[in-house]
Amino acid sequence: MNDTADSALRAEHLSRTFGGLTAVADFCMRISPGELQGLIGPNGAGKTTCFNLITGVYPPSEGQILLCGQRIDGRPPAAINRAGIARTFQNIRLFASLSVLDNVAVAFDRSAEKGLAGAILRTPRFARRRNQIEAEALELLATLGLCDQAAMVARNLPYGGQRRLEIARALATRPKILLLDEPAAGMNPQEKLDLMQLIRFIRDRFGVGILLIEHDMKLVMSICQKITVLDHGETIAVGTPEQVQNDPKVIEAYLGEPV
Amino acid sequence: MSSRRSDHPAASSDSGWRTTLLSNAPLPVLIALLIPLGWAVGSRAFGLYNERIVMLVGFNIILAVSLQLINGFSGQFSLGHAGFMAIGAYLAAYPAMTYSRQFHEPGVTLLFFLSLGLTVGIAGAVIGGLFVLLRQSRRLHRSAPGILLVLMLVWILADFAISANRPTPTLAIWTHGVAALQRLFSALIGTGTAPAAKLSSALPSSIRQPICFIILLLGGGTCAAAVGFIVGLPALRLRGDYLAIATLGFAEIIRIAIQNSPPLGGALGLTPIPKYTDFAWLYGCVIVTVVVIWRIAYSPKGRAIMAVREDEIAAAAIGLNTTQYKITAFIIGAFFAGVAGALYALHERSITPTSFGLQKSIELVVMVTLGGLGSISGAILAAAVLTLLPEVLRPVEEYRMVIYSLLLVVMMLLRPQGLLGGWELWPARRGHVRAPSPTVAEPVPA
Amino acid sequence: MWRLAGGADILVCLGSASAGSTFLVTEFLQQLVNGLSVGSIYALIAVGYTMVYGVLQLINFAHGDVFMVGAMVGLYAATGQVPPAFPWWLHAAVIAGLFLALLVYRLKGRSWRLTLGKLVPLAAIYVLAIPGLLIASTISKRLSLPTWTATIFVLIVTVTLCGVLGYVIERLAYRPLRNKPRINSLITAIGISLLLEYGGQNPNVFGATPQPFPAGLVPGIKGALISSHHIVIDRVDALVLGLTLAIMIALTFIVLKTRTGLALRAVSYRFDTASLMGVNIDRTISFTFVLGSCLAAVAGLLYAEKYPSVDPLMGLLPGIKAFVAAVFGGIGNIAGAVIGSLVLGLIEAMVVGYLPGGSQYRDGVAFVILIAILLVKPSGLLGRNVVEKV
Repeated sequence: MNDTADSALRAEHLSRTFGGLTAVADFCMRISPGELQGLIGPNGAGKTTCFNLITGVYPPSEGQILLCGQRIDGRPPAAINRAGIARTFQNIRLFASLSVLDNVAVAFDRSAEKGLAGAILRTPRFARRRNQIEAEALELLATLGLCDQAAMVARNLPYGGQRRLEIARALATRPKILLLDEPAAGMNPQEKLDLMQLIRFIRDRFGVGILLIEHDMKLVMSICQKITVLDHGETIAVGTPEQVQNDPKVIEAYLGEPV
Repeated sequence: MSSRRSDHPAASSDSGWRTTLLSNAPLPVLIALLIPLGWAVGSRAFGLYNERIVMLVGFNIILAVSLQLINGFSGQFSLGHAGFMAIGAYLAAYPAMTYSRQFHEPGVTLLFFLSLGLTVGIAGAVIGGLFVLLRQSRRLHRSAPGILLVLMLVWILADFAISANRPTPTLAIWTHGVAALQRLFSALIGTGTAPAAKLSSALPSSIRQPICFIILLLGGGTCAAAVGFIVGLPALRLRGDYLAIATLGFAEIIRIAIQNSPPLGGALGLTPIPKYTDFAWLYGCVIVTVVVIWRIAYSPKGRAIMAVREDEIAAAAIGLNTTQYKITAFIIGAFFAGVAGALYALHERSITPTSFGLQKSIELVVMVTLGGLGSISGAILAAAVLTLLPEVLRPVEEYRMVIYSLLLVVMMLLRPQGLLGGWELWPARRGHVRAPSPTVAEPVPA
Repeated sequence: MWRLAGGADILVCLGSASAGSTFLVTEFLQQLVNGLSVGSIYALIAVGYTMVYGVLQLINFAHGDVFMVGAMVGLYAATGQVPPAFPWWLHAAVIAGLFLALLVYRLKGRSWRLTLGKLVPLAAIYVLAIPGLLIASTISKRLSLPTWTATIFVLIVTVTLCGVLGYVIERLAYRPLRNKPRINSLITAIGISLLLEYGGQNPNVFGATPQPFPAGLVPGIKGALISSHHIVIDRVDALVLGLTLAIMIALTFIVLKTRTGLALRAVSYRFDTASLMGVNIDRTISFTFVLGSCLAAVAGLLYAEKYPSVDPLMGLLPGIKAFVAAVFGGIGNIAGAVIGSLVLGLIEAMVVGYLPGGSQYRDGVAFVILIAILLVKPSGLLGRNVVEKV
């Protein structure tokens, strides 16, 4: 298998310090489209920091990140998204005053930068493109079960709907890799089951690689193929769910030292 | 889990002509409205004084709607809109007075703007180069730019302190540079006048004046847009209150610079400016402004601008170039403010710097907020109401402004979301967009 | 959000300011003293801005006008002039407004206790103001300047009135909007500012023409303190510097050593947590406003003493400059406000003194500094960069 040709996301020896605090140390990971991986660890372990590093919110202090063999670390978040990485946020960040449809449509249409003249004159081409984008957005919403609420203001969506909308918006950017930051937070067991189904569905339907931060062990263990465990910024275990579940270091990190 | 896509009213697959026709259909109607309105105003049915008020309403509508793009749709709290208006006004009045010969010389007027653009462009390139150099010095060390800036400042100050009233080297560089630019400008105008005049005479005499007028408007607007770009750049890093104060500062600097420029009349202002704006022109410009800004706001570009307003980090996370959208809002808003300024200057026979001060900026911000942030019709409504209100209150002349400000406070207390609450009177899009969420959020830039 | 690295830095910077008078003289030192004097006045105003911003994240546009009111009230108190009695309908309007508020609250279902709790302080202010103003105007007519009684009287009246004004403004205009988007409070602040300015221009209150402030309010204030070797330090300047120094020391003490000061700092750090810890937010914020307004009143008196002309629009420019100084020093930081103001005053004096044609650019200095600091270090000299957590 040729490493540089496949569209894998590779993080190599990433570390990030804030002042004196090392948030992440020597983080390595590799994920390809079609894979479902999990990133777990106690609170403050550095999971979201890893996401932020990968998506360019801040640059790594050391190490590099590659996507399809190209380095993406140090580039701004918008550029990284265009390269093929999308994410959701721990505290949902929707465009609250925009409609559900607009939330997704704006992610589809990254070439809204061009076409000022078309917008002002309302040329047929402009109208065609706009309709096309909105049709695609509707289709995506339908896939995620939000079609009926397309005209609703995003702020008014129920919580589960908001999470799904955020995922829809991320998918609209046609990523190769999707990073989900605690998608199941605040959900009841039934909603979590639906979410598990949804995640698998997204992986199968869109062929993206999904990296998941989650606290719900059942969810993570049942859908992830490979799990990385962080604690205090360091990787303490990597492996299949069975391996990780029985790793003594992981148990100690979560439950404390055995009596 | 999903309903059929084709059931949804938004899904359509027409070739686009339908939208074009529907969007452009109201235009002839609006243009036709000019006839009865123009007749009503022109016949002085309501008196000369009221014609002036109507014109003022027109200027304020253009200003308010252009500000709405910046403050409402783009969420950048600008308190310096009057500065853009001032640029447009002065840079239309000056060529009108000096070069256009009562609007008969469109060629020379155009030449003025081109020469100005070239000269300022060169100056800008030099200064911009300085900035880029400073930024690149960051490669040497993280705090190199800061140290360099401090050193420059110290050098300049030491210069002054030591030489006390004798010409200093720093000042000499500045004056020589400015003089060189002035020579360049005069040279450009000098060489170009003859061909430009020939160009003017090549045009049929009937359209010479309108063309000249349009050149003045567009020129003033473009100059204002350029300033808008300059203001928008540092604004990128600032949020909320800081942005407000920074834009206020820029507007004041513009005003003070104009006040201290002899060619622009200084504190006494420019006069006499040839008059050309009348109700028809103003009406036309209002229509153009409203239509253009409406179409930009309710298009994918506008949607992106609003997304950046809602959450900049999320917008970046979906690949939007936030810088571009924020600056675009400034540029377009400033352009129309400049056009309004130009219209204003060519209507009043004289202009002074004080009419473009903080008070005007505040008036405009109040109009935009009272109408409801994010609503174009709200801005129009509020502009009309707030321009007419002081006139309506004339009978209580003494307490007029007191009541005005009191009403302001009461309005904010009772209906903070504004008159229209961010909704439009005319249906905007199928997926309705509502009132913007709080935009003045973080106190410190990230 | 407030960082006072001990009172030491304030004292150091002000100490070096007053040390100037012992140096040998040059024109430079003359400008220095001028600059510091003006800067101190700005400092008194800037502290008010910065405190309010610290607790509310609000730019109190009306603060400069409270400064103006201070000078105006001082003028009235000192000269024995009294503005013509308020027209009957104004009284009627206030009473009607109170009753209306009472009705609205009751209709909304609020309890009597709550209603009265909200309205009684305002009503009390109104009721006490009338005889209070009457007494004050009677006393002021009998004053003769310059005497120490006159000075103290004017001081008390001005400071009290401005403090009350600050309280009323906060209660009526800012508190209801505390949970709303901040732009609404900004517009309200602008509205109050306009109200004060236009109200002042009303011929019933003051009129638009400037009136001279009685020179020599404080006994012995006229004339120079030191006048030798080409340097002249006016007693006014010495008073300004000395008084500001004393006030800053007192303020540092209040903020650092008292419980109210502790509450202030707590609220400026985290609003909600402070209330959870038992801090009475309303009272703390009111205190902040009252304190800031009192300082602005003193600033108004000092400014009027130094540049003896009072008009309703005099608060605009000093207000903006003081705000710029607060931003320059790091808004939310008291020491920063002081340092920023002094530096601004100094730079202004230098520009006027050394730049050919500099006096025209005097007002522009503040804005250039503003843009510069916002470009280079927006959080100000002493401010901290707060980064948004993703």
